[in-house]
Amino acid sequence: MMKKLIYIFLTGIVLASCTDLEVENKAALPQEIVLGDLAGFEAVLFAAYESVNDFAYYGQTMMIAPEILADNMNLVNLSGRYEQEFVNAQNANIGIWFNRYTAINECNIVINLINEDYVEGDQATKEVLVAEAKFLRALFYHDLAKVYGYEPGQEVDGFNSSVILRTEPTVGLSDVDDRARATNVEIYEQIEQDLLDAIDGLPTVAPGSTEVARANRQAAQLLLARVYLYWGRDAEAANYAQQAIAGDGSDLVAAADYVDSWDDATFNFHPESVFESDLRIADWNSVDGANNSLHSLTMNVTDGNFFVVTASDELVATIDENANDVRRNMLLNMPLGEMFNKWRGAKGTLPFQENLPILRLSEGYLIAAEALGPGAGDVFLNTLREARGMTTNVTATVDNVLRERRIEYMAEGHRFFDLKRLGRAITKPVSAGVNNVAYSDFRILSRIPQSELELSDGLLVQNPGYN
Amino acid sequence: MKKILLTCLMLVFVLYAWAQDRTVTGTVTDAGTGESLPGVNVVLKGTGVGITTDIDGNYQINVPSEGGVLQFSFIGMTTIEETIGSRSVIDVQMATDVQQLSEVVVTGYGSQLKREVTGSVASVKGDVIEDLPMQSFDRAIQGRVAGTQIQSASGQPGGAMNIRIRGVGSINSGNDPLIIIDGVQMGQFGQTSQGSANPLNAINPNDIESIDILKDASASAIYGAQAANGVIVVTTKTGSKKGGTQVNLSIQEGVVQPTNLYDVLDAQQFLQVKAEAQRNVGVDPNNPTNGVFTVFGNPEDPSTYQEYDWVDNMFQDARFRTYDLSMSGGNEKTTFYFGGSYNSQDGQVRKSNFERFTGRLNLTHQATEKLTIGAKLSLSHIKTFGTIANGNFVNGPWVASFAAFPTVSAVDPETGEFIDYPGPGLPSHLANYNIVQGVEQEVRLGRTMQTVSSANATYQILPSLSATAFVGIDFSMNRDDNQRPSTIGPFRPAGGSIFINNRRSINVNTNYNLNYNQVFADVHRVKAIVGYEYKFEEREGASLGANGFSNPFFTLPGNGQPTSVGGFYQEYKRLGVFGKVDYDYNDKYLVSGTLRRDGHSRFGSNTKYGTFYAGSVGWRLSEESFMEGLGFVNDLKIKASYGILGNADLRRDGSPLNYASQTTWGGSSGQYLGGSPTTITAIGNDNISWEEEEAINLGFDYSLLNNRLFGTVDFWRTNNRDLLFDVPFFQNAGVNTNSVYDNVGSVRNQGIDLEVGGIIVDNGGFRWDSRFNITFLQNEVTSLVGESDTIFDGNFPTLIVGQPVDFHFLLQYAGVNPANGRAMIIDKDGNPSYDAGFEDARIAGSAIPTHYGGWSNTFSYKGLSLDIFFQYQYGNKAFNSDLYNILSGRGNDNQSVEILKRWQEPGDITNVPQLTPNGTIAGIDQYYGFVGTDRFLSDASYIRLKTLTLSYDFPNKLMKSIGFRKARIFVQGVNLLTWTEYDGMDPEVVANNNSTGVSAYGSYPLGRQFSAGINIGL
Repeated sequence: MMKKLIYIFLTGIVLASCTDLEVENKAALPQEIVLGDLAGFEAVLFAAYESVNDFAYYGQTMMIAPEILADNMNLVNLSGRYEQEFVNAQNANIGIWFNRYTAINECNIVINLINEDYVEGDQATKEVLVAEAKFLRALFYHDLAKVYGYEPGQEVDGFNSSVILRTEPTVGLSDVDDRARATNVEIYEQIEQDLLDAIDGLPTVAPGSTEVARANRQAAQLLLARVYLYWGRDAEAANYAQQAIAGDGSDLVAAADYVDSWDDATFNFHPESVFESDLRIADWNSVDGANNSLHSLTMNVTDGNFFVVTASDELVATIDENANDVRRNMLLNMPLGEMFNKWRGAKGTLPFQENLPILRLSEGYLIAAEALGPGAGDVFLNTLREARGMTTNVTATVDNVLRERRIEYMAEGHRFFDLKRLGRAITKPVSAGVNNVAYSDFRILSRIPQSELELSDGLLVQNPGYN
Repeated sequence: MKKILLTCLMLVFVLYAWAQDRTVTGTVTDAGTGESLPGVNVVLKGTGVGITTDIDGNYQINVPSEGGVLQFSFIGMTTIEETIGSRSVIDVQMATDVQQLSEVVVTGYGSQLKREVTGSVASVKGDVIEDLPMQSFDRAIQGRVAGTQIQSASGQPGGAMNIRIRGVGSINSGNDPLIIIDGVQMGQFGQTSQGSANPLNAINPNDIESIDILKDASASAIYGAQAANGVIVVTTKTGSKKGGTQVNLSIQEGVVQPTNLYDVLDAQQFLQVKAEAQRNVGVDPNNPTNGVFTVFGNPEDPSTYQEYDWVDNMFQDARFRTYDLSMSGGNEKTTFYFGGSYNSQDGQVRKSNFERFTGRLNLTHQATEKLTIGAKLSLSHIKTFGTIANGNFVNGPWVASFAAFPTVSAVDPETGEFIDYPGPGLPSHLANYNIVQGVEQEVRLGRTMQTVSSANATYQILPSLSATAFVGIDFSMNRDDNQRPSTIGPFRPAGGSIFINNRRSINVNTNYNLNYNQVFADVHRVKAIVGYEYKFEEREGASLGANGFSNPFFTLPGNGQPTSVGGFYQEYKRLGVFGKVDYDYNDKYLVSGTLRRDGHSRFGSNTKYGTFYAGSVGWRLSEESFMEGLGFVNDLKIKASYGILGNADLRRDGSPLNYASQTTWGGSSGQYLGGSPTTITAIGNDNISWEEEEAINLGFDYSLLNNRLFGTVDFWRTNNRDLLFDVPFFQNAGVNTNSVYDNVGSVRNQGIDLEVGGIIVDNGGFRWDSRFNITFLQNEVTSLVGESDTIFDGNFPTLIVGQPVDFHFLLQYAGVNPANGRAMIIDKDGNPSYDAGFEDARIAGSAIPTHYGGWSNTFSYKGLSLDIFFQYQYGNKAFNSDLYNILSGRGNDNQSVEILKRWQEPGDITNVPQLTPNGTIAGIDQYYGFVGTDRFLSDASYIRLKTLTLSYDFPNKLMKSIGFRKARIFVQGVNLLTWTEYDGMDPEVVANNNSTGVSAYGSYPLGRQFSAGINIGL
């Protein structure tokens, strides 16, 4: 009896003494499997595309903050959103640092690793994927450069540091090195090179079609035109702007159709878009639409809208200078003020969703007008004005183009950067109760996250005025 | 050899002499209750002769004609010696052994007599927490044990607790102690996510026999892995081999009430305050487009608004009840304990409830002379209707009820039906969510079925050597249902939504031990154990969501359009070998040593294993002859221990991290053109290994003045090093998780645990027992990554060498300038300033208290007993973000009545600045929300009258006459009174309370409870 029991006991020990410590991580895979084929690279590229929808980027911040930091928006509801930005509190600036570098790394992975020996696949497909990644990298670096640094030639006190330049992927800890900020010219040169490559490698597409959800030649041309305009290289800006547009207004929405062109239910992609981010239900959790969407923050027609901003009185007055401007109908009168009727959130069956136009062809007309100036530029300005229902007798002075841009891109996040690139003070609406922000004011540039400086061995320096 | 033979012969001679004996009889009763005591050992001192009392406490023993001394002993009672003399009837009353030298302490894989323990172990017996109206035992032992801080993370019925034994030693990794229930090493995470859930809810506190808390290295080292955070060993009840079957029935019923809710403005005050803010910026409140009187109503004309008290309609006095039935008993071979309970509790807020069934069967059976088998089986079913709390949520009652406009109603005054909030013509507010309707109509149901069960077998190989096999499981299945019906305005556009989450968790540990126990030459006692243990945990889940329901009464996602799917899978494995030797010489000199080696799947391929050890010594001075003259010293033991313990509780942002060694690529959130994006999600470190804690303890146990004064003093220090540290790297490197785990950094905790107990009065049947404990705690980060002395998160420092692991970093508020009503802070140069930046902020106290403890008092007279228990903590600060909503004056939120102290005209001396609609003056946020000021920081020290129980035990004789064993009636109160300077609702449920993760917004405070009950024994 006793022996038997001892045997049973010992058997039990042996059975149970599985000494294995192997575990399965079902949520993740190693690099060599993920990047084993071109579909894997496309999935990484999709992560970079998808990041455009982030609320900390064009999903919200880049559309609203540059408007409310300047003079296009009035804060009408206090929900903890944009209250500091409205009064330009000293640290209430645009923070896209982390968010953009993650997406840049995704581009770097595609650009650098797709031609590794272990990835088989069609060379032409590889080249297009690389060109798309370069377009996105250029967009992201330009946005970083305009948030964190001065444009070349517009430096205050000669401060020409832009952002950190990384063109190699981070796939392990050894890639994570301490770097100093590149100069604004170095960053702009990298953007220029990426876009020239992208223009070469990308196909042309039909504006407003589903294809504009991916990088394409016109988008790259238009973005390069924008970059040259910011850079002060007006001739090249005009050149690439004209390459992107038809020039005769045929690629603009007619004045009579303009207001309806923002109806996402009919036009999933805005008819003038050459780059527009695709957004669907899966991009959000169940409360993101109400909590964070552009529709929720700017409009008050759906239950659950936060409706925190309206058009500023000054913006309304500017539009009202011209009685025929069809964009006046892009504002709706509500008890709290003039509501933007742009972000209608009508794509799909659930509320709040819509694609996010990043580059519209109208910008090509306005860039050409500004870059060419009075005389040669007039036709482009007037062509756009015609498409917005206005008279066509205006000279393409900087002020006239700027006025047009202010209205054309209201609630699309251009205003602050347009004032900044021209070295102008950031004007504020009366309702904010604060003074304008002089161009020499340190708040023109955003604060680099303090945690980055703490990690750096003194190589990385903060923007002036922040300590 | 000759001497031994001689002794044997003498024994024979003596025995022979006893042959002419006689009989003594008697009854043994409990001095406290008068109940008879079955199972008491009655021994004729100096011989092996002895018997035990029967079910009625009667005994009969043969004694030599010349008498002798009878010794009566029983666990938990003071041993009594009676000289027989010529008596033939000796009735004895035994008193509870308050000092409990004979107490048995359950430690790692075995038990020890308390007087032999050289480590630091604190115990709470089941009777201390019996019938307390609390769902989990951790809540019930709060404040009872020195060195153990237990804090509520939520006042929700069945809400989570945070337990910290001897400070906070880890920074990124878990600080939760290892909790072992009948040998089962429990999982650490609650299953349901409906409000706050405690993973210990599965255990009915009334089933618990004892709770032992292993605090130092010597006591806990045998658990090596995870022992660094201390170990709590819970033992459930077993039946007695003697004394027949006992039945216990307990019924309790009571109410819970909200305490200390914020007092907010009524409609008229609200309108006046909002109008004043408008006037301050030059807007006429009668302005036809946006004037307060136009939009909200005119305070002079009550017909222009609808007065409604949101707070009153949200919070309530709620009912709770508990029914508890247990039976226990056994015979020489088999014992059993059976327990069942039902517990139902509503919350202080609508639709916040907890309902639980538990069942338990504990069995032991002696199969053969040498083989004993046992099983402890438990099953629980918990249904929770959760409350949204701990965050600044528009749909959380702890936020929205205070902020909602007091000028509009939640219901149509005519029909009583819910109406949309805030109604036509009013600005969008709280996302247009009618909080009373939402709380009432949303479904937030969590159901969890859980078993914590084990089986064991012990084989007695030799009298001194036994082998034990054990397997235990903590298994749970959970389903959460969340429904947001389209009857609620904000959910209407999407046609309502339903979200279902199914989770499953398996947690198994098994061990095989050899136990050795031998006494050599009467004075050398050796106890040893060696063993092997294996553990794994697997948690997984799947979720789905749908929108677009054609009817709000559909309750399954299939009736709508699918919108989301999700899931997770997490597993880890651990194995270890261990050994422990205890030696004592003549109960006087005690030595103990432990060694354990553990491997854990969480660590790198070559760094999975760690070795942990501890040693301790003790000296029972009171056994020394030189102490004999000091008659007032009954027991005195000094002890010292040292050891190295491990911690493998890797976490990232509070969630368990099982794969820190791997660089992972996975799906990132969202989609693009219908495709699933993939990215590099985290960088791994294949060298990651164990976090270590070096622990040292010096202390003494004492019992003086005829055991009327007793206690323990421990001086301790722990150094946690090679922390499992989430080392940040450059965000600009571009990896989603910009940190990697490494073994760096160190934290020191040091303190004193002091427990003192005494019988203050014992006179004429009246007795006053008192126990007091206090812990002095100091916590300090001693090193961080490399040379760096600060870790930043974004723009704020979160860790600084030389500071506690948890501190507040804020501006110093300088009050309001009486001349113009503007808020001021003290800037970095020490001057008052209107404007502020990060550089002006400074450390403003810590969330970790410097002292904490409790004080219990029991007054008893005959059957009447009054228990008063205070719990306290001291020296910690808490930040109350609720005040951003209800005391900032800005926006449309309703405000606390404190806002009435605002600055109104030059000369006003106040802390509350002038009101403006957007809370800014000259472009400066008057509440410095971007950095934060210490204006909303307050001292969260408190003393709380935690429980008060008045009970009456009916006289034994009366009970016997009606066939009862005992009966007790009681009334009790919980959280009756609190003394604190804290400016929020409850100083116990506050943000960062020992890194509890409770938000500074909308925390769910504890309620005040009153109950009455009866406990009957048959």
